[in-house]
Amino acid sequence: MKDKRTEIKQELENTAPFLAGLKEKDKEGFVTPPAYFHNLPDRVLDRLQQPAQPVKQSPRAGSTIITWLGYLFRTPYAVRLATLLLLLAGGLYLLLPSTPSDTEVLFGELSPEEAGNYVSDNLHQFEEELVLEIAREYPDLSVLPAPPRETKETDAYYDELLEGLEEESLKDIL
Amino acid sequence: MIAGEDTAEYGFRCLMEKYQERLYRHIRRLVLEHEDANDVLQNCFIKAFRGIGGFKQQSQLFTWLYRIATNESITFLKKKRRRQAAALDEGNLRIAEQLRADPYFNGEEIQRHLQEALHRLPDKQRIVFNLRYFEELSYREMSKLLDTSVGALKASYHHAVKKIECYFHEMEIR
Repeated sequence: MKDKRTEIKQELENTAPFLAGLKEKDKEGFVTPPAYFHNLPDRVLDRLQQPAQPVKQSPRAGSTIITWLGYLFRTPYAVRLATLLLLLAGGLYLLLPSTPSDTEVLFGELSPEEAGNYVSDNLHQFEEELVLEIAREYPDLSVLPAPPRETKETDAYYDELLEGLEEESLKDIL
Repeated sequence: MIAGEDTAEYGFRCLMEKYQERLYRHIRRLVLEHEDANDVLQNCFIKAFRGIGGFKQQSQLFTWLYRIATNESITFLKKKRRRQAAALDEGNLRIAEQLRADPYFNGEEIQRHLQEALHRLPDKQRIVFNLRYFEELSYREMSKLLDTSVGALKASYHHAVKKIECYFHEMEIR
């Protein structure tokens, strides 16, 4: 059976030749004070004979939290924390379904006819300009009042109408 | 002997004398500074003494002690890293510079760099590397100590070796 040291050295030579060479020196550099090991058993036995030390009070929760917060808010960690929070917020914004507007909720499931009926029933609630604009854009929608005719036609119509009226009747109307 | 009331102290002293140097080296490689290693080793022996009743002789005594030492070291390192992160002081000090100022480190520049490279590894990879490279354990022995499969240990060791070699290459240390 191969000597353990030789086996370890061969193992190192294949993967880490520098470490293999360093092992040859066989030195670590750790030293102890003089007579350290001679006195150690006495020191340990002395400690064993002493009455048990009172239980060390653990640091208060508050100070632990402050320590951890101090640790978290050190510049490199704070930057990482902020980046993480931003990513989380962005991810939530993208992942969560967007909330539909009130109008989308109200009309989302209505057919065009139902919508038209609703508008005609509640016409007084809509602004006049908006209604006229829609009427111009969608002339086929019957629910809306007819758009005003061209000015000349309108004038001629009213002229004819006025001519047909008796003076007395006109005074009554006004 | 440790279980007996009259012989417990003597038995425990024998146990410490037998394993203290090996455990100290293991802990020191993980925590680096002598004072830290001293604290962790004493705590490890005290826990072992108080918990000896729970020791099941399915594993060797050293394996059991070794596990306590590893857990204590890792717990210590985690606490230390948290303190350093909160205090913003020594945390940024490079291991190589820290060791240069350590009166209990007499290694050469290359050993300081090796420790620097080692401390950039994840804890588990560092432990595996230490056991194989410095303590020259077989994968089977390591498997018992760390309760990990031989395959996983080989992979961890390989990754650790490659990373350390890469560190030396980047630092242009040849």
